[in-house]
Amino acid sequence: MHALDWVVLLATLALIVGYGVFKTRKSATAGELLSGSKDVSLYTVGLGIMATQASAITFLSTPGQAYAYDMGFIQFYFGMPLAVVLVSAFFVPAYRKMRAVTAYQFLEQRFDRKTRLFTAALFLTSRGLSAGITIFAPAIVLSAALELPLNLMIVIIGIIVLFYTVSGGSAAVAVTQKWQMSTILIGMGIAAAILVDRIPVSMSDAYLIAGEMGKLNIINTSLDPGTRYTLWSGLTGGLFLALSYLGTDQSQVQRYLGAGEERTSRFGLLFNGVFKIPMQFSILTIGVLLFVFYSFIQPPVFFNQTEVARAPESVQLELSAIEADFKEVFEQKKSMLLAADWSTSHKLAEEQEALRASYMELLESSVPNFQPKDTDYVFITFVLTYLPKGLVGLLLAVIISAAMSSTAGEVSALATTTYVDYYRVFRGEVAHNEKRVIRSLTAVWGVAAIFVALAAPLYENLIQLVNVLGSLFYGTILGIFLIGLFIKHVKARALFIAAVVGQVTVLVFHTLTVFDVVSLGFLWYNVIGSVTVLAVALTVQRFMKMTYS
Amino acid sequence: MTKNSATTVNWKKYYVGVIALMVAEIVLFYYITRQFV
Repeated sequence: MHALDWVVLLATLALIVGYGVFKTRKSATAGELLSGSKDVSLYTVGLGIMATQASAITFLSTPGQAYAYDMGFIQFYFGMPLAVVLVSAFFVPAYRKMRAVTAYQFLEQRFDRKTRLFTAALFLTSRGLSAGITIFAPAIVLSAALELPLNLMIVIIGIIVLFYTVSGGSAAVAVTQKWQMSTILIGMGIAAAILVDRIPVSMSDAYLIAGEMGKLNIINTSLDPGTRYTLWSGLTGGLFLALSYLGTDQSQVQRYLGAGEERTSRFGLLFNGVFKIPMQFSILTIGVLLFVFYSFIQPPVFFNQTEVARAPESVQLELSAIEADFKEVFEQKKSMLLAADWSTSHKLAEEQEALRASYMELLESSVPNFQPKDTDYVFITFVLTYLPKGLVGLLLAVIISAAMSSTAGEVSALATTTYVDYYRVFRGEVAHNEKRVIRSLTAVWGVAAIFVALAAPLYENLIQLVNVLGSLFYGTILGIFLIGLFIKHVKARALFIAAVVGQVTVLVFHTLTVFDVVSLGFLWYNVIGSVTVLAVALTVQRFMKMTYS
Repeated sequence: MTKNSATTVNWKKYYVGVIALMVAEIVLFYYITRQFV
């Protein structure tokens, strides 16, 4: 990487982090460490919610999704605006009425302490693990792209996050997230503009090519529950997932409860409802533009060049032969696209895919622990190869900022929940220095996240587990909160039985899916969990009433 | 003390706006998809 890129990268990161630390250096009270400064605008709240949601892998992986498949992933976010309205109308007033710092405090007031501690523990387990993966996932891509050791990359990102999160707590997280998100949006905008400039055909032709080659498939109305992203799974499963994430996950709740006024909390949420789908659509559009770009500028057969470089000498000749064939097919396809011969273009695209498959087979058989997924490397390869000096540094700052903003939001929420829902509950009466305890807990969670990230390569299944872990518990947690908010006559005992039954039901469906007995997209776990908890709680409560009356 | 001014806002208007925007986006996406099917 050029020296100018290093200067831009380091200066951007230093400015954002330095500003966050400076702004909160003296003023940070215990309350601000826990939930942030009261004096924040709706933009800080709105951008903070989006920044916590959007991890670095969002910006690396999403363009790759559209490049390799289509834009159908956007349907995953269709439930978000509905969820935002429900959280703003019902969850926020309930939390603010009792001046809650964490979502789980509400559960003790409504049910009992056991329910509060149980739900907070589910959050700490799943978020604690996923904070590590939030660092690990982009670090693996960045280390391969920058040719830096993976562990060094993890430690660098982790230490910077620790530095300002421990120092300024939730207040520093909010201040930095606003600037991190602004940098992300500016950087992605510049990347899109350069991509448009580099595409050698007009935008209307680019649109036509993308559409005819199947990249503009956005809405899928299939009723097959095994299809992961459809209009229906987005509107139902996506709604339940967004509702439990925005309404019950402390890393989100903390961002909007920190505001001094209720209207700021609610407007911050609505900001997310308005801009989330357009933002994700823009990122997917970058992926489609990359597809058109690489239809005219030859792409590598396999985007993760680090894996290709690991191939032994003995297969290099065979790999080169496939590369030559790939180039030939690419040139033919380019001519057919320019001639608007779509059926031949499709056939040639299939030929290209077949060559890519043999290339990957060869790598798989000759490279130990070969990583076959290269969609995360499509965007970063473009950035590193085609962006002018200086802008490469800015785009890397974008990706690292995204990693830092979501990790910081998670670590801060973990510390707040540990302090408010456990430390203050069990040791609150013992005199203690609040700020010191909160900062220590933040440091502990930050270090834990770094260790999980460092251990991640040792346990391949860990990443898959963490990805699905949220959906395994979210349904049950949402069911508990929905009963708490809307079904007043259900009491703690009936709810606890329902929560256990709901959780077991989700785990049974997950096991059946793993063993291919049923075919179920993971978004449906959220619906199954919530609906089971609601149905069982109502039935048990009715039964108990009949028994005791 | 923080003041609670949430009651002075006509929230229903904003909620309808957010949902209407989502419906418009889905309709637009459906139209784009249908163009090439």
